[in-house]
Formats: sequence, structure tokens, C-alpha cells
Amino acid sequence: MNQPPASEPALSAAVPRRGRLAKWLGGAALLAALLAVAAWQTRERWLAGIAQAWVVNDPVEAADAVMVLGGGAQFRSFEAVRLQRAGLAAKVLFPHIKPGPLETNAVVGNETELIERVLEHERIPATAREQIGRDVTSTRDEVLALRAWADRAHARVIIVPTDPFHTRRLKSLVRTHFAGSPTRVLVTVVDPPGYRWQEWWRDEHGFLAFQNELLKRLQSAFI
Amino acid sequence: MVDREAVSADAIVVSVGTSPELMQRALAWLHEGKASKLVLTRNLARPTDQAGITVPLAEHRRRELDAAGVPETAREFIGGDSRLLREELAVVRAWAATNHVKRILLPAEPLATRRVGWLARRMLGPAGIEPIVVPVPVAGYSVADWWRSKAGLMAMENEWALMAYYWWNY
Repeated sequence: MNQPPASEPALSAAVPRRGRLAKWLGGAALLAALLAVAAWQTRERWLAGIAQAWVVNDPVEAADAVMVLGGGAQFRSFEAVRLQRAGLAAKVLFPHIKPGPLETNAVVGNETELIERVLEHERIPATAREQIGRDVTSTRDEVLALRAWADRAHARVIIVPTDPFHTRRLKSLVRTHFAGSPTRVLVTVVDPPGYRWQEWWRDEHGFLAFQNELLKRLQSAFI
Repeated sequence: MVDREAVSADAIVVSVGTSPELMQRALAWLHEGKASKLVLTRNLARPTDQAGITVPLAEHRRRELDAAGVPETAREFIGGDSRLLREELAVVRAWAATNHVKRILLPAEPLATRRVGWLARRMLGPAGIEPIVVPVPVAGYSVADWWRSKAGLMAMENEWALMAYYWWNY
């Protein structure tokens, strides 16, 4: 009976190993393809889910003050007015924002002044509005200014309405800079104009807003 | 960045909400005779405009054009509720079709030229309109060292993201 030469046992053992590897790779590729199809089919659900998981929206309750953050003359200030008129906040706070290069022209105008004009126009009395901080240039600066005011005023609750995807970063800053403070800061959502934040991927402003905040979050994690 | 020079065109197109630098460049081109008309696309009214707290951007621009001596015949405001570049370009396309316009000048921030040019060609090209997108330096960052400033970093990052968004959606 013919016996296989000495080299053939190694070769015949290698073929089943290669076959197993090919099967494994094929299986993995098929699984990946199925997962990709499933992800595509359910994309709207998990895209919306990501936004829901990201956005912070604390339940509103009666507060000592509501704060208008910088960049908010157009939407946040009106939300602050609504809350104040509804009796949910005794006072409206707004930051003294450091003028940027764009604010030297009449078209853009000064952000701090514009917020105050909105509050005046909406008949928020002078005694019910207060400018805080000096030359703020970031959300962090605003939170620090807010903490200083809260300590002076012995505030119990402050509401800060802001854009949906900004809420997470704001809440994180509040947790950091209000640590040890008896003041509770409620972060709430101001609905953006022109799109639903729950469907952020359908609108370029929503897409940009969310990915900007994701990047800032990543940046703060590494720097 | 796509670098092109301003050439003769039928019209110069800017948004009423454009930056001061782009507006100044558009006016300069008009005075240089690069085009006979300045077209301004109106944006969605701001809440402060609607409440009567601020002067609408279109009115600001109107006053600016009056001060710069631009005659009524050399300016035109079009559209009324554009929020996105795509919407503005659709308004421009419709206007250009009725006014037999074949070439337009579009000033744009340096890092935005590729995106604006891509979408403009996509939307206006099939209508026979040639958009010439020209970079205009703006305050906040320079193309040579955009990575050194927060504004430059944000602008570059936003442009990449928007370009991907446009490519996927449009």
C-alpha cells in the first residue's frame, strides 16, 4: 500500500486550518454585513436615541433666577422672558460678554446690549434683570460668573436654558463649578429654529450643532 | 480652499447676513465693474426683527448700499426665508433663470470656498449658470495659519463636516 511522503502530513494539516480560517472570515464578514444592514434599517431610531441620550433637560421648577447665556439674544433671551413671565424665575441674569471683532459693526451689534434690549422690550423691569460677570468669552466663564452671583444672592435654584446639544457640556461645567454649592442649577432646552433636535441628522444646522458639541466633549476629555 | 479670481460676471450674489468683509468685497467688485448688479438674498427674519427690536438685515444692507452710492438699478433683494445655503442657491437659480444670467460671482470665506463652490455648481450648473466662488479673507483666522486660532480650527472642522453632509445628502 502506498504511504504518503513525509512532507504531505504537514500539507494536509495546513489545508484544514486554512479552510477553518476562510470559514471564520466568511462568517465574520456575513455577520458584519447583516449588522450593517440592520443598523441602516434602524438608523433613525438609533440616531434619535443618541440625541436623546446626549441632551439634558431638567424639569423646570420655580427658581430665583433664569440666566441667558451669551449667543442667546435671538432665542434664549425670549425663553428667559417666558419663564420669568410665567412666574418660574424672579430675576433674569445675563452676562457681560467681551465684544468680538464682528460686534463693531451695526449689522451684528453688541450681544450684551441686544440681550438687554430684548428684556427691556419684553417689559422685564430693571429690578428683575441683572448683568453678571465681566468680559466673559466662554460657557465656563459664564458658569463661574453665575456661581459668584449665586453665592452672593444665596440662590436656591437657577434655570439656564440653552441649545439642545449644548446642554450636556453646560451641565458638566455646572457640576464642576457648583460643587459644594447649595444652589441647584437646572439646565433646560430651548428648541432650535427650523429643525427638530430629535431629528438632528435631517438638517445641516442640527448636524453641525451636534457634531460640534461631540468634538468639544472629546477635546475636553483629552486636553 | 479653492482659489479663484473675480472675473466679469452678470451679477454678484451675497446674503444679507453675510460678513462685513464679504459685503465690502462685493461692493468693491461692483464699483470696479466686475458685474452690473449686486443681488442680495434675504434670510429668515430673526426673532428680534419680528419683535421690532432690531432693524432687519435687509434694511441694514439697503442703508449700506445707499451710503455707498449704489443706485437702485444696480441692486436687487431676492427671496425671503432662506435659512440654508441650499435654499439661497435655489432662490438664486430661480432669479437667474428669469433674468437670463449666465455667470455669477460669489464671495466666500476662504475655508468655505470648496463647499460653496461644490453646491453652487451642483445646483446652478444644470441651469446653465456658472458660479465663480472667490475667497475673501475674514477676521478671526487666516488661511496661512488657521490651526493657530480657535476660529480657524472651528471653521476648518465645520467645513469638513458640512462637506461630508452635503456630499451625503445632496
